[in-house]
Amino acid sequence: MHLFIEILTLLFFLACAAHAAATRGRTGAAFFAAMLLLGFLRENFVTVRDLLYGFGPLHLMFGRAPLIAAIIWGYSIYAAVVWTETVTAERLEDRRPSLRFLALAALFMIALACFYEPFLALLHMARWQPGTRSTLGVPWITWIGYPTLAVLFLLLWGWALERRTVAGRAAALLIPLPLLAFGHAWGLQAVKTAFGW
Amino acid sequence: MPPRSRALTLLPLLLLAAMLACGLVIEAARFHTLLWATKLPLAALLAVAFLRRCTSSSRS
Repeated sequence: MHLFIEILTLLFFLACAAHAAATRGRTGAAFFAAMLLLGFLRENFVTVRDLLYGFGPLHLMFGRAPLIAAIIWGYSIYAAVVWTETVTAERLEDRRPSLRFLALAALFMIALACFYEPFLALLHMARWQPGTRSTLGVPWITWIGYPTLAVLFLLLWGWALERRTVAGRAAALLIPLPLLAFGHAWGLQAVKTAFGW
Repeated sequence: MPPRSRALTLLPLLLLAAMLACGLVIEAARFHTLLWATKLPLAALLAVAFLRRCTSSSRS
């Protein structure tokens, strides 16, 4: 069952990456590459530093972390972008998105957390630290974690694309990206510990 | 916009709807349970997007 879900998620991720490249060109492909790097760095940091949650027996790995954990961020953030574009008619362009766009993308990410977390726990694919507080199987910390990662990444993406040259865009994106990945996981753990969540 | 292009635009959301349905089937078939309450927010948001797309395309 785990392998089936891992492969299904990988296929959906690849389909979304192809969709982004087909509808947005090179910018769409770069958007997915950046989200893949973000997911890879963040989930490996979580695994190596033993933060927030661990994983059940999974088959496909990407570094020290399960592949599904690394790709699910890109898949989810892209779905949030497409949903927000559909309901607002505002397109994610080469600039920072509006406050309304970010708020709606955050709302969608919270809905995704409500779907993913109880399901992953039921299948023993993910296990949160003992004592993690939750409602209906959704850990409270995910209501902060999912939306903040999406919003911070979209802000970083828009800020990087405001540079005029390709080199400038790459530098503006790739230098802060590891900081976002590590800082987000570490920051969430700090909030979780501070509030006893 | 032709129907095929509209479907292509919404492909990521259609995949997510398929994943939601998969989740329900797995829960019911393997665990004899349905975590329906935690799926409602996502189902509602997806429905809003599909309705929005339907109404905007019928106007154009």
